[in-house]
Amino acid sequence: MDKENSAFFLKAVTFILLIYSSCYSQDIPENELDVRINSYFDNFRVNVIYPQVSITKKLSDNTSISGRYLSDIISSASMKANFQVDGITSATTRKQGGADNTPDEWRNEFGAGITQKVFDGILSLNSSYSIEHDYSSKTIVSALSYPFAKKNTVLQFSFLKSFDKVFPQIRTWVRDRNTTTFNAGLTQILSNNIITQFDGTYTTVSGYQLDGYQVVRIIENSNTYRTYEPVNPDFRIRRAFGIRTNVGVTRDFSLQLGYRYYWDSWDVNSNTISAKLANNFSPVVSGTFEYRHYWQTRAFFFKPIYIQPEQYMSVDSKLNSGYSDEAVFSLVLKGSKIYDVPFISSDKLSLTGSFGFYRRYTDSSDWFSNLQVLYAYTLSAGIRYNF
Amino acid sequence: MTKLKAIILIAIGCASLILNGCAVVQPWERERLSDPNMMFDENPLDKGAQLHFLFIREGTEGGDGSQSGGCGCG
Amino acid sequence: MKKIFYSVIIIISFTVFARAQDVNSKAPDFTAKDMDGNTVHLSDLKGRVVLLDFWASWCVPCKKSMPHLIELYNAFRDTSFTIIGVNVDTQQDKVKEFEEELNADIPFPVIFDKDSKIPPKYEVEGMPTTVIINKDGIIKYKEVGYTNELKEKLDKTINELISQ
Repeated sequence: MDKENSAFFLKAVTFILLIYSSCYSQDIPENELDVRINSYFDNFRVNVIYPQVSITKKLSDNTSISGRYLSDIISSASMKANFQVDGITSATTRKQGGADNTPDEWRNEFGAGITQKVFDGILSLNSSYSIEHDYSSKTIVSALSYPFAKKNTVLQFSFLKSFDKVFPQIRTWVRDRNTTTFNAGLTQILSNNIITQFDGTYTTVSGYQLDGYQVVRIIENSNTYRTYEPVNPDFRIRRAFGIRTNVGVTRDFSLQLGYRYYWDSWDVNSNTISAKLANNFSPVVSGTFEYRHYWQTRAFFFKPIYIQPEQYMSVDSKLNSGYSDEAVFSLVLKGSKIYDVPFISSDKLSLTGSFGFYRRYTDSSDWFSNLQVLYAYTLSAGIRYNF
Repeated sequence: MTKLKAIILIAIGCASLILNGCAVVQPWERERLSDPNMMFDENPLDKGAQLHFLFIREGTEGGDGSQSGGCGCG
Repeated sequence: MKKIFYSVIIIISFTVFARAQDVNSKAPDFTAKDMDGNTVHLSDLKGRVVLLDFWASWCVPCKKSMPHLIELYNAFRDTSFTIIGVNVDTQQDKVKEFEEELNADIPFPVIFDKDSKIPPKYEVEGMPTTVIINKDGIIKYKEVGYTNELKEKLDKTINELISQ
């Protein structure tokens, strides 16, 4: 489409949005404090505890602001072989890692955002900054959602830009990684108990995209091997398209089905199917069970074993072919006056908890653990308070 | 180019009429849709935590949708 | 090209404005029973300023607007003003649960419109919808949703209409 037609198209669409803006408005987030602690443990000896706090405050009927803090304690990003690694926690000792002798496995993430009603849609702008001793990331996201047809249809668009720096402690270099993402979605109410959502994402990633601590071992003979740094293409295009539908089967029970197809320029293709059952056991207790199955192909340059140096080499098991399964149980307890107990008798409060089990199988062994099957457990607990 | 502009306008016009006609469910009929278990990603922080570890272990992302619900509230 | 553009704009505008604007139009009449079993006939209330509140127990903004409406009803109780609530829940006990959560009884008549016969007459576009009808039976105010300024706006409009 040439410039003239593009400009015309933009003007026409803007006009249509303005015409429809007079009738149906979206809601901006209410005042809320959310505190939760999430944890992850797997048989590759990675344990992560990541508490997070999020607060949203409505400044007026049209504006709200939010702030967020997240901490990854013992992040999986830097559990790598070239440090002496503690067998249980995978943390490095104080004598190694980090210029200031603190462990590399503590990531801090700070986020802030503003949400504004624009005519009858919602425009939000969010930014986050993440820092650990070998990685930093600055991200900005802008999103717009607009309702149509008495909110039977909602269109969503978002744009993300991320500027990362990778500087592993065992390397002498600092490399950049930049990500740009466009996302478009449509949520459509199909009947008084069925709602469907379509979502498409297009992402370009440039720069260093592998793990700075991984090493490729090429065996020369029965006694010796040489190690090389992994090398990947500098550019990657990721695309994904998903659809999910929520059906209110009975008054209290709903079934959500989802499917996502992903494909990228490194030849990784994946399919994800999911099902989620949700039930209200009482006015104050509800629970969900979710099952997810995922399978993917390998990147074109990934090999289980390299017998000679190649233009591109990787040992990252994320680029290997394989499949995974995940099952998650969760419960929500809403505060209510029926409890004659301080704190939880407030109907502004809700408590959540979940337990998940994850299993991943790769077609060849992981370079570090020598295992083909990864098992992981996730646990989380949280409190949400509307003030 | 004129033909392309005409096609764009007609497509937008049709989309507007279709969207207008897609008021399948009236605001007062949304009782079931207003239930939190009918929302996609009722708790976005939970969803974010899940996507966080899945991306570390699987390396693919996107197409995951956004928080949305069917309440007919104003 | 411009002719096609303007023709499409006119068609689109017609579809929007045809459904949206009913302030200054005659309030559609209705007859229904309130939750105490009394018959409510809108045309019998001619000569009074009537606020119609379309609400539901599952509607979060309705929980915020209802205390303000109760305050307004009590403040203007001895005047020519009244409120009629139109509830669109499918189960009547939800109204009682709503009152318990509010920690207050709703003092004005509430019609339990289970089959939602009244909202289409008023082209309700969201919940809650607040409609104010003057003494001549004309819709003078219509608002969808809840804002912090709602009480002041309603107060001002009701005072103006009562004094007419």
